[in-house]
Amino acid sequence: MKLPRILAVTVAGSALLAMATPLSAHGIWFAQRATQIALVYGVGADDLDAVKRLPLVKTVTGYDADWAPVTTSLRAAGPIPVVDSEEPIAAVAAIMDYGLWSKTPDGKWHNKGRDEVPTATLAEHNWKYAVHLAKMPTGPVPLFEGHKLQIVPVDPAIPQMMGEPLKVRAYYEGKPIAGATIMSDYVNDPDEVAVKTGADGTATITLRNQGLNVLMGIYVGPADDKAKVDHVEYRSSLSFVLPHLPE
Amino acid sequence: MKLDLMKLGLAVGALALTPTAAFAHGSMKPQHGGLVQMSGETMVELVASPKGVDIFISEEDEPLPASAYTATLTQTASGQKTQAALKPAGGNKLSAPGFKAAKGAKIVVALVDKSGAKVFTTFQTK
Repeated sequence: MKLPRILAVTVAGSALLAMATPLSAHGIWFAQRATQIALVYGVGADDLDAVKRLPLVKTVTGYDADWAPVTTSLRAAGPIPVVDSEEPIAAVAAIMDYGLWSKTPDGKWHNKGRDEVPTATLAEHNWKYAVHLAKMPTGPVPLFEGHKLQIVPVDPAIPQMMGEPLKVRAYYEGKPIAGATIMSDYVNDPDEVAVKTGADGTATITLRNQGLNVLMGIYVGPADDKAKVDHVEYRSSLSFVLPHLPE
Repeated sequence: MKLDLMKLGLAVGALALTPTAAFAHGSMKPQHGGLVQMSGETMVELVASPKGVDIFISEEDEPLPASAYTATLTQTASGQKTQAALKPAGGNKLSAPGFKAAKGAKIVVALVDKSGAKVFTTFQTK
């Protein structure tokens, strides 16, 4: 009797998880475009319109190699938002509040909370974060203000060859969090079977690309406003480039 | 000019935006006795002299028109920052007349094209 019950719970849980996966499970990350560092909104090869979403970007912060702040902003360069800084940056980070989303039984998503969509079968608040290491860090990567979910390399000496393992730690509200999903290649394999962080918040992935690597951490936390949403989904990228051989 | 530069012992520092060193096509040989650094596809040669600081810009051995760019020079020395505009000075040359390059300083050249795209090049003095 016990086993079927466990199975039933598992099945129900899986169904709930599937339902909880938002229709537009997109993230943000940074990548080089025409020598500039661009903010990308999308998933996989879908590089969607990030310029129209610029008003949703709450902060963009740049840092030098010593993690001292560098005055940084985003500017629309045609259809692409690019990073503009007063000095060279070693890292850049951004926060996007993607707002409240409710799903109705007809499968449609509405950019409103449950309080405005009473028939919603699901309602969530989406936050998206991005951290890009433009230069390889020489010390620990700090936790950035406002990034409720952040993925950090445990050892700042990131291996420089694809195929090598990389251990990362997921932090939620500044503390290691177990059960966060860590995707190793959000751009080239958005459907991968991702790993989960363990009790110490760490997970080990394999570096997939001798080029741009975009890791994505995902964590579903409790509702920040129970009248409006069922939960909050946090999606946080960590991107960096492994160098190619000299030409 | 060359001698002044050598006296300063300017050393090329790491360049900025990407971790990948630029391996664009084109010679890295200084054309004006200065120091050369690559940022993206753009080669910047910095020449310091008692008269000031000049930069020369090119891509794949082809000079870029200085008039198509705006540029600034930021020097950090002993915790103090000084900045100057680099003005087009004909051909592929931009100049900051009177700018004194100090020893032990970091000099960052920010080059902005008409589209607003900006590239940085960093030089470190010894």
